[in-house]
Amino acid sequence: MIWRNDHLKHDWFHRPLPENIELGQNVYIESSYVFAAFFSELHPGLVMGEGSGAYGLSSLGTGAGGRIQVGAYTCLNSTSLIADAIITIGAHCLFAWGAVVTDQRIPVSADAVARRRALLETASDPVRRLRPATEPKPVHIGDNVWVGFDSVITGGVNVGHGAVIGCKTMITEDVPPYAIVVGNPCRLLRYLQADDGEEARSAALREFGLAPGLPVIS
Amino acid sequence: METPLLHILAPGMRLEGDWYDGALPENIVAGENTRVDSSACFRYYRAKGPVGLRTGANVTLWRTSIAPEESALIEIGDHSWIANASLACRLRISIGKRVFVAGGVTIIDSDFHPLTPATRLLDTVAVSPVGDRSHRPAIDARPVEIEDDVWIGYNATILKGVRIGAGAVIAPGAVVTADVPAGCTVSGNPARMVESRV
Repeated sequence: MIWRNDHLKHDWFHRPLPENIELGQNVYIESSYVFAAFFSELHPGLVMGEGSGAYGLSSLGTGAGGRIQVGAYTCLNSTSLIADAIITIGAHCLFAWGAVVTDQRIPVSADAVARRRALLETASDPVRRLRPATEPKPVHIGDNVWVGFDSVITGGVNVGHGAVIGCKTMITEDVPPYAIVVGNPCRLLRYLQADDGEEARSAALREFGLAPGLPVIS
Repeated sequence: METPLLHILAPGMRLEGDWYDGALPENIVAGENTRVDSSACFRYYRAKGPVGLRTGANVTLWRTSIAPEESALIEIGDHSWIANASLACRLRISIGKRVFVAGGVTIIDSDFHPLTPATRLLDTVAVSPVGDRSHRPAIDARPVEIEDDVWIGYNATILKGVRIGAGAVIAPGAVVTADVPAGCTVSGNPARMVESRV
């Protein structure tokens, strides 16, 4: 089964998709507007696995040295990913509306000089590529992670396999596998039973007539 | 003649000068002088039952997403005002009379995905471009009930199974995960009581 992004022929945004992206089969991209702030000069600057999608007003923003990897069957529903280093997201993740993943530390550095310099350098660039105000720290999100709406995940964070992050939660520290974390400030609610092994994954793909064993980025 | 800003809510109507190309759903019941700005409010309206939205009289719906799923029902009482909110409903959301809902509010009676890792993984495939939304796994839903004279502040969130007692106040940005007694004020994420009037 091959599905195509035919609606991109009628895209309201005037720019083509960037050249330096690798999309697997059956990837959904709502609009090339998703790439309005995609300035990666890496090859590739973005990899999206089989059956993943960037829906609604999602934004995949990168600086010149930024790279984003999204695993198979991961759903970005009006979600912003902002990478100056690297953001890696596993397979089968759900990101709700308004969720943000950035590899910057937030609140940004107390170093007011660095913040000012970043803004001044940004202003001198005609396309206003936002300069990082802090050293970016890679973010890694495992497989089958669910991130609630309006939550924020910041630089240097690892989110473990199977974890669930509630809505409007700010994540500045690692989240263990299968943990449910909620609230602001965020707290650990409990752990889920790990029942989503390779067998469960193969069964889920078979259920929809899809071949198991596809390459998964994680 | 100038296009009116708000239109009378009536089943199946196409609104004059509507910027969104759609009609109001057929399966709604609206009291007298209930008004809506655009059919865009019903962009994600998927109710298939006899009634998916029932409102009292003099209700105001402003750029609010009214999103009941197939067998869901949203009820809104007389004189309630709802602006720039999202009502996403699998089962039932009931809003009383004279309830004020400020901008950016989300009211949901379900989490819309299963919590259990294996079932959740199955759901990611079901909602993918090559999945099938009609074969999604069972997803928990519990009705939300908001009683009369409640005030809900900007960007607040009301989660599944919550009952908010009459006259309660939800502070801006609060995430309400448990029942709120009548007359109380709650704030924060998760919402905690900051003032009790009982």
